Amino acid sequence: MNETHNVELLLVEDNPEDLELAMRALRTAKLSNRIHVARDGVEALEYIFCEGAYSTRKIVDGPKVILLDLKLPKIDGLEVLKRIKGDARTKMIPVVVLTSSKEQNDVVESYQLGVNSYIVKPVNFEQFTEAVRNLGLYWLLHNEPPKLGEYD
Amino acid sequence: MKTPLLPNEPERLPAGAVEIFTEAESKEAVLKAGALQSAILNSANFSSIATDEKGVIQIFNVGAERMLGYAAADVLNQITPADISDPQELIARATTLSLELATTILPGFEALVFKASRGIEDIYELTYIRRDGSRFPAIVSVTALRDASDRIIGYLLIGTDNSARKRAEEALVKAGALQNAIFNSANFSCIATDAKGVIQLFNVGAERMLGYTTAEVVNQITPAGLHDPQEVIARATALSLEFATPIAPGFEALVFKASRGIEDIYELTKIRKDGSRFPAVVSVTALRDVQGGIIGYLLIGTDNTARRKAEEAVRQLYAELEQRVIQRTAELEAANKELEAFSYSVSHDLRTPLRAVDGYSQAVLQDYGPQLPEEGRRYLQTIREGAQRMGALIDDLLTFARLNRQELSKQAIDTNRLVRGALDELGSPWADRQVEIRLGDLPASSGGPALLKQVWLNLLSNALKYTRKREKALVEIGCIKTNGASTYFVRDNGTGFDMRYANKLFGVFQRLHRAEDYEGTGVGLAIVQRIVHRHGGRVWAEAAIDRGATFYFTLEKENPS
Repeated sequence: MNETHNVELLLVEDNPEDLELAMRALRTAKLSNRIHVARDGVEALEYIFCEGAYSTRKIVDGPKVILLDLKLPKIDGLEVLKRIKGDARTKMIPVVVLTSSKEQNDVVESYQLGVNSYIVKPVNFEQFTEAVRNLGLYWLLHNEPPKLGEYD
Repeated sequence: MKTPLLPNEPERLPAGAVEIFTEAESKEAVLKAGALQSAILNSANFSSIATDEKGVIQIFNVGAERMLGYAAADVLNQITPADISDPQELIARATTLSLELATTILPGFEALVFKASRGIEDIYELTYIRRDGSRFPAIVSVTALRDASDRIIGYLLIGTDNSARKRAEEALVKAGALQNAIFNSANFSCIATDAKGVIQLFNVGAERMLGYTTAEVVNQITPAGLHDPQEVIARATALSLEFATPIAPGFEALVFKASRGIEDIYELTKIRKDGSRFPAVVSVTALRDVQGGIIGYLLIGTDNTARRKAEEAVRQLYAELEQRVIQRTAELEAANKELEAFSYSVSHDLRTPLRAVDGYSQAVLQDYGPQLPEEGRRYLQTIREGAQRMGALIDDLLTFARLNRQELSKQAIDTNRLVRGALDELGSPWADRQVEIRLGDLPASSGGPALLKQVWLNLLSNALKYTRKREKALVEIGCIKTNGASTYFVRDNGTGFDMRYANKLFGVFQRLHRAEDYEGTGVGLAIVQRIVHRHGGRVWAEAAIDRGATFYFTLEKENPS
């Protein structure tokens, strides 16, 4: 699952149940291939910027889309978003905030930081599955992203 | 017949001849005096009263008539001037004269003319009493009327009304008293100077306030020496600018405005003899002679310490109040922050486990459903419903809690459009039902668009929910004017409710229907009420069981009818 190249989707999620359910939803939507999971903000940033354990990776290798929870240990989701969108090498990677928070502040700040989509996780699992399926289909299949590294 | 001429009495003329001579002479005198007499007699400003030797009035001129209110006919040969004089004064006058002249004088007419009868010039003040009983002070001049042989044949009393002079005198006395009172007051400092500013008068108030004795300052210094020199300099500078003319930072600065005829009251710090200071309010007036030339200045000062202290106290109170407001605001802000953190936590952390409950139940159902007995599947379904209901509750509660934190920025609202938008959003739940919506014309309003949309969404979704069991649902939306305010309403032909419980309608978590009949969290109408209240309006309902319900709301203050 955690392949170091050709990863299409980075899932940043600390809660094990949410993670399992998200994976289940992605599997249902047949999107579970080439997913990398980061369990906190630090790990997410190391992965994205190819640092620490991921120093052999190349930034241009993706991921194609990042599903980002906001409430994360160590470095929170908004900070992760800020670093991604504040760096010319990564700012073109689509980031979808997938969170429990309906707080207007979070929504507004996420968009100000350049988030591509903001999705509130519904309690209802069918709706959750549907939301994950839709966003996966959209960002991985329909969306045509620019090639990373070409517009540095 | 006797010899008409007696040779031994050559000096003595015959009586008749003498009489003739006298008569001729007096006629001439009368003729001569006639013009003068008639002028006096006809003057309206003098009362001329002539009496016979006993005092009975013989002449009562027009001036007397005016002054005293009697007609001549009323008094001639009837009364004496004593009858129109104050009896107490007559008694007093008689007593005084009796003592003065060591003879008994009766307190009647005699008292009025006794001196004149003795050939003493007599002018005195007396209170006359008018016919109507009113009184006035008169100055009376009395002359005895004598015949040629110097025998008294009557008296002439010429009187003038002394009221005006009396009043003026009294006013002068009063004014003098006022001046004295002011000047001797210990509460004002009164300092009068000559034109150059040298102190000429220094009252007891000034002595007390400033600690100098009169002797120490009169003809010694100017009031400038009693003031804070820095302030006098500042005042001179300010006045120089204001009047575009150089004004010396001394006495001139204190009186310049007054010298120009400008009313001048200012605050300055005065310095006592012992060097201590106090704030004073000084009022300056120029003293002028009859030609208007300035002969000096009067500076009246009051000690302003008490007022200053009061002002300072008020300032301090304000500052304290401000400080308290700042503190309270900070506390409130902290509480608000805490609340925000709390609702953030509720929003995020409370729903995560619910998602797990629902998600894993669903996973069990999907993965192992076929192996479970019917009962087991129903249980799992119930678990899921519980989790979802709790999710809805949390959402509604958060919406409700956020209402107060949300800024209300009012703008013009096209109500018709807003309501159509809300209906569109609700479109799907009643697609398979027969619902008639009657949308009346809704006047524009003013408010927060998102909040008002929430109001309409909640009211309309309720109307749709509670008409669910009707074969043909009817929802009417309209507006009427009550007490000068637009009153919007949503009426349905649904299940209604018992008006006895109407007071519970808008409470949080209050429901009038069972959850198995009509689902809901009991927050929707509480949200409606809170939004309406925040707009300054009110919301109420009319309903009957099984006969539908109407919800009304206003968004502005109504005029009391």
